[in-house]
Amino acid sequence: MRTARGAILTMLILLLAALDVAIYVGQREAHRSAEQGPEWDTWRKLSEPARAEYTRRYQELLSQGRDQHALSRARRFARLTLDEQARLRALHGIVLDVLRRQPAVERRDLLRASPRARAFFVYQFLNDEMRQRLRQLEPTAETG
Amino acid sequence: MEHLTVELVHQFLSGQMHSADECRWRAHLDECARCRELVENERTWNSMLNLGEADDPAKPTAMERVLDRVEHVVPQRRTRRRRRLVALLGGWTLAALLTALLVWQVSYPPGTTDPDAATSVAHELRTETVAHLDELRALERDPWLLDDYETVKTLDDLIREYRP
Repeated sequence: MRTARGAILTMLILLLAALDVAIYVGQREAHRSAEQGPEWDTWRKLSEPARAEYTRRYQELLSQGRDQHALSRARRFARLTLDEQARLRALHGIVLDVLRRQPAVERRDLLRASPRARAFFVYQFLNDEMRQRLRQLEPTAETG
Repeated sequence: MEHLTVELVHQFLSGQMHSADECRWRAHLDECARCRELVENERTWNSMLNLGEADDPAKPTAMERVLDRVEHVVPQRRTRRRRRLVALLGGWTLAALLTALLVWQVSYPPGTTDPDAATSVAHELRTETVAHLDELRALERDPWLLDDYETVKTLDDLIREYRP
C-alpha cells in the first residue's frame, strides 16, 4: 500500500516535471518563431525613431477606424506594376490641379463630395477644358 | 511449617543458597507439593526467559536483551516513520510546486514577463505594426492613397472607359 502510494506520487511528480519542460520548450519555440520572418528582419533593421513613427501611424489609423480601408488600398496599390503606379500618381497630381483651379466654395463642396462624384467632376472638367491633357492621359500599351 | 518464598526459590535455583540451607530445602521439597510446584513454575519461567545464562556476568540476560532490542527497535521505527513522513510531505510539496510552475507557465508564457495591460497592448500593437509594415511604408511613400485613392482609381476607369 505504502509502496503503491509512493509509486503514484513519483509518477505524478515525473508527469508534472515532463509537462513543465514540454510547455516551457513549446512556448519558448512559439515565442521565437512568432518574431521571425522577413517583416521582423526589416523591422529590426529600422532605427528606433522609425519604428516609433510606424507604430504611431498604425495606432492613428486604428484610432480613426480607417486601418482596414487604408491598408487594403495600400495593398492594392502595391500589387500594381510600377508603370501603373506612376500613372495613378500622375492622375492624382491632375486631380489636385483641377481642384486647385476651382473657386474656393466649389472646391470645398467637391472635397465634401464622394470620391466617385469628385472623379466624375474632374473627368468632366478635363473633357471640357483640358482635352489635350486628357488625351495625354489615355493609357499606353505599358499601362494597359 | 515453613515454605519457600519466591526469593528463596530464586536463590535455590541460581545456586546462591548456602549448602546447609539447600539440603534442608531439598528435604522439604520431597515432602511439600506446594513448594515443589512453586520451584517447578519458577524453573519453567527461567527456562522460558533463559535466565539461567545470567550466571555469566559478561553475557546480557534475556531481559536485558529484550530491553536492548526494544530500545533499538522503537527509535528505529520512529525514525523510519519520520523518514517516511518527510518523504511523503516532500513529494507532495514538490508535486504542488511543479503544478504551480505549470499554472504560471500557462498564464505567463515567455515574452510576457511583465503581464500588465499596458505592456500587453504595446506588444500587440508592435506585432500588428510589423505585420502591416509593407502597407505602412506604401502609405508613407504615397500618403494620398489614404484619401484620394478611390477618386484617382475612378478617374482612371473613366478615362479608360470613355477613351475617344
